Amino acid sequence: MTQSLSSPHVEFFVELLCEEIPARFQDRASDDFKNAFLKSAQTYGVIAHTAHVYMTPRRITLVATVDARIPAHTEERRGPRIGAPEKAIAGFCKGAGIALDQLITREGYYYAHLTTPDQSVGDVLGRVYHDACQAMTWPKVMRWPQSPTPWVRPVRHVCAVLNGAFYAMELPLFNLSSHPYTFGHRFLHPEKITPVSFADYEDKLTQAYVVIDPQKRADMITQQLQKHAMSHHLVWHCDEGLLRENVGLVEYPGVFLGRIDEQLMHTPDVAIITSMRHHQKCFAFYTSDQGGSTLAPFFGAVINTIPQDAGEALSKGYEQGMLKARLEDARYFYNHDVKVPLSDYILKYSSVTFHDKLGSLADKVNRIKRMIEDHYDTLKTLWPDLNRDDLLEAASLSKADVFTHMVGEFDELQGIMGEIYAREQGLCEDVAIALREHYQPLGPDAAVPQSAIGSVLALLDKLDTIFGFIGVGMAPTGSKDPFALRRAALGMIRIVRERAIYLDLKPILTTLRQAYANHHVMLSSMADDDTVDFLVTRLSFALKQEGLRHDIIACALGGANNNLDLAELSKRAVSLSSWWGTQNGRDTVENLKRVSAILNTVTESSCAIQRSHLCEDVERQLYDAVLRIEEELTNISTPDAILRALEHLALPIHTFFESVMVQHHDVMIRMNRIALLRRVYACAYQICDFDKLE
Amino acid sequence: MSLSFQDIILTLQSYWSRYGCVILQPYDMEMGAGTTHPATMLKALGEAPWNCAYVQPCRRPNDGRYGENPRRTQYYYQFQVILKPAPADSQDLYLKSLEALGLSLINHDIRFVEDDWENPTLGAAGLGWEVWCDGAEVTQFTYFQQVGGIACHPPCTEITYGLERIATVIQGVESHFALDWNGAKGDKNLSYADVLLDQEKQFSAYNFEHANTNMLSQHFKDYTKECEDLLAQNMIYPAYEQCIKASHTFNVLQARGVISVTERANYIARVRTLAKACCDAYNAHAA
Repeated sequence: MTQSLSSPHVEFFVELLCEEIPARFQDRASDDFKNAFLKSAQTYGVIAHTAHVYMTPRRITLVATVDARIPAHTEERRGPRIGAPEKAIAGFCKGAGIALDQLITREGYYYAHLTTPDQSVGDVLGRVYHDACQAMTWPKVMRWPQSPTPWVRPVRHVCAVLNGAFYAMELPLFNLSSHPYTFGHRFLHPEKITPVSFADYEDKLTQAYVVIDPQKRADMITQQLQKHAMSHHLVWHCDEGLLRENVGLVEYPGVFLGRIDEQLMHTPDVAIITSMRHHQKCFAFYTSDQGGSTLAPFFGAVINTIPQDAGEALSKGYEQGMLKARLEDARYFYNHDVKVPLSDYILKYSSVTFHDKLGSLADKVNRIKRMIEDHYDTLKTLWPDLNRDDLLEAASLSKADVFTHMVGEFDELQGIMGEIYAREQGLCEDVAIALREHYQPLGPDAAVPQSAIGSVLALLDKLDTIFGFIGVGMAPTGSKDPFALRRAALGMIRIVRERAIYLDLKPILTTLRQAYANHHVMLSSMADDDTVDFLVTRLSFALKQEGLRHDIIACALGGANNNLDLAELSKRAVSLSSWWGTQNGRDTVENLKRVSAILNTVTESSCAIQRSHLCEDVERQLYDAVLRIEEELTNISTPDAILRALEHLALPIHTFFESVMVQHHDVMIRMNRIALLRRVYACAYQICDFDKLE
Repeated sequence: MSLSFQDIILTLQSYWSRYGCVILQPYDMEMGAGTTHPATMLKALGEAPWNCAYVQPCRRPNDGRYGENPRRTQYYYQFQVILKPAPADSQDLYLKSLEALGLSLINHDIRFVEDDWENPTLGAAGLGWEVWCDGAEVTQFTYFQQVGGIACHPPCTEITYGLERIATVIQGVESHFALDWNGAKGDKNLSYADVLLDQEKQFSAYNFEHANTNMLSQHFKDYTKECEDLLAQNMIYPAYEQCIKASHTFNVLQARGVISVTERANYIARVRTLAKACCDAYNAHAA
């Protein structure tokens, strides 16, 4: 394909006017559609210099600059072998649109040369755009009678302009043809507008109360929220997700500031905010005293109109309507829930199935309590202030708030309401906090539990879930992880690493297996090993994300006799990685690997080292070094210190290999040298398998 | 002067009648939504054009609040419109109907908010929106994709107005019970409370406390069996009625609190099987 040298560029834009596209699809769709267009352009030889897609709920507008001409080009297509049946050759010619005498032969095959003449880009853009639409995918599509093709929502109108003039094109996939005009805001300016360029289009649309650029709409919303905040001495915190959602619901955003009835404020803030956000898509405000943390009796609603009655109608609707009803519900729920002791809900655990194969919620909580009972002493060494009764109480109540009205309405408040109700009902602070924390972390960047009880419950709950599902054959596969086991594993890993919790999980898995057996759950015999593998793999993944090399991870985590102390394993990997970055580290490994390599070639069986048969100085020095290090290793436990201790083997090994040959003709000396090397190997390789390092 | 509750209904009926919808009467049986009416559920199937509109009283036993909640009742009215095939200007038609009711589309904030509607008991699903007016959902607007598990060819538009909701916006009142029902003056005036509050209280109590669950459980079994028997005899409309009865009976049993979480899935599956069977039979019959 020849590159155009100074072909003039032309601007091409197309607007699809649709029925409201779900807000949550819009950002991703803008990228997807742009890429679909670029890919399609490439196939047709169209050279695109810029491309962008703007979206409002009702419009998908692509704007691109492309070369005005597509240079002539020849494509060579290979046909059948020479000597193939006449029918095959004739068919090939027909498909390529050439005559038999135009065939070229080369290296045993027939070829056709297809020349596309120099074309105006306008000749193909219609097909380029059409193919892009066809290639476009949406998470969900629907059918409507006027179109042969499903799409996210019905497409009703197309406007296309090329180089300042109307571009006529057919879109048979929607059964539509393009027009030189489009329409403004559905209510504020439904009349036609006829754009002559993209800049003109954006301008005219803005005057027609449509802001095509989502970023500009976002800015309009934040500016108006800020303005309202300032004029009422309020503070507004940006809720990015809610902002993006509102951007996708309006073409011309205004912000209405409404008041909340004082009486409705006597509900926990989190319930009010969640209700407003969840049901009404409204923003919360805070009073500006006390660092902006007290919820103010105001809300911000993003509207898509400019009322002509000074907002009288809609303010009545907003303030006395659904928002009020929802907040009344929230207040009703709270007042009702707070009177019911959380412990009353424990009886309901047995009526809720956690999962068909894994039993009820009651079973789960019992298993968690069992793990606590059996391993309390170990836990106490990690947290000396741990209180057994509080820990067990928190475990018992950990699933209680799920049965409250509030959490029934807003499941995102599970744990949070538990803490609030526990506190209101006079339970001890540690228990209250743990009820919220045991669900943490709620996301890869969200907080991990800070309290002892919260950490213990979080770990045991997740371990129970992971072990259970793996044990009944429902481990994640490929991209399917319906029970979010990977997320649970990552959560466990983050908790132990960030809180420096050095806890071996293997003994706890044994208890867990027994507990499942008591609940008559059939687990595979491989469950323990598979769970260990699963957790270690997730740790490897996490470490890789942090930039550690895969061979270092494999080396540090790959020990066959490893316990399942994820924090310890992680520390090992990190230490090994930084050690590997030092000259001493690499020298040591290089020498150790020499020892390992030599031992691989040796067939003689082992014997004990005889000091009397160490005839060379270097042999004695190496032996002394090993003895010293073996002694040292009994006193140190941190990976950093262990690795540094091993460094003292580097020079003795190096000197040894420089000075002597293992394969000595004297069998006693040879055996002795082999035994010495085996001793060195055993000392170092018990730490990890250095052969895995590249 | 804003429209009374009964005038709202008359206006909608008149509007859609002028458009060309046949104005039907409510189905004379307890059901949870206008969709359950055979004029939607069965008529949405097949290729024959069909435009209808009707009021449908809806019963949702679980939603009873003894008349104490201003916006939630176990009995309320929907206005249901079916347009098959779905016209290209479906949304505009709906919006004009709001104007016909006296709502200014500029002074109120009207938005189409994604809501893909699904009724698993009836195997019905569609894509569309909740229509919000000043933050309150007043209408469900759906392009049906499937009914009884069968794809709709052609898809139809279903517009379901929440009559009380819209009325509160039009009349500018907070509570459904404060709605002016008949628009009359003085002591001839009847509010929503005058007409329905007593019933709401008694039926809430019935749904939550008094309904005879043994009888209802038996009824459920009877209705399911009768539905199957009738289908075997190609009595499609009578069979579908049994399915409707079974569905409502399940709703009452649920409100009474006698159906556990695991059992619930079973009940729903059984009603869905019946609904699908009725739709299959109707489809075969229509073909």
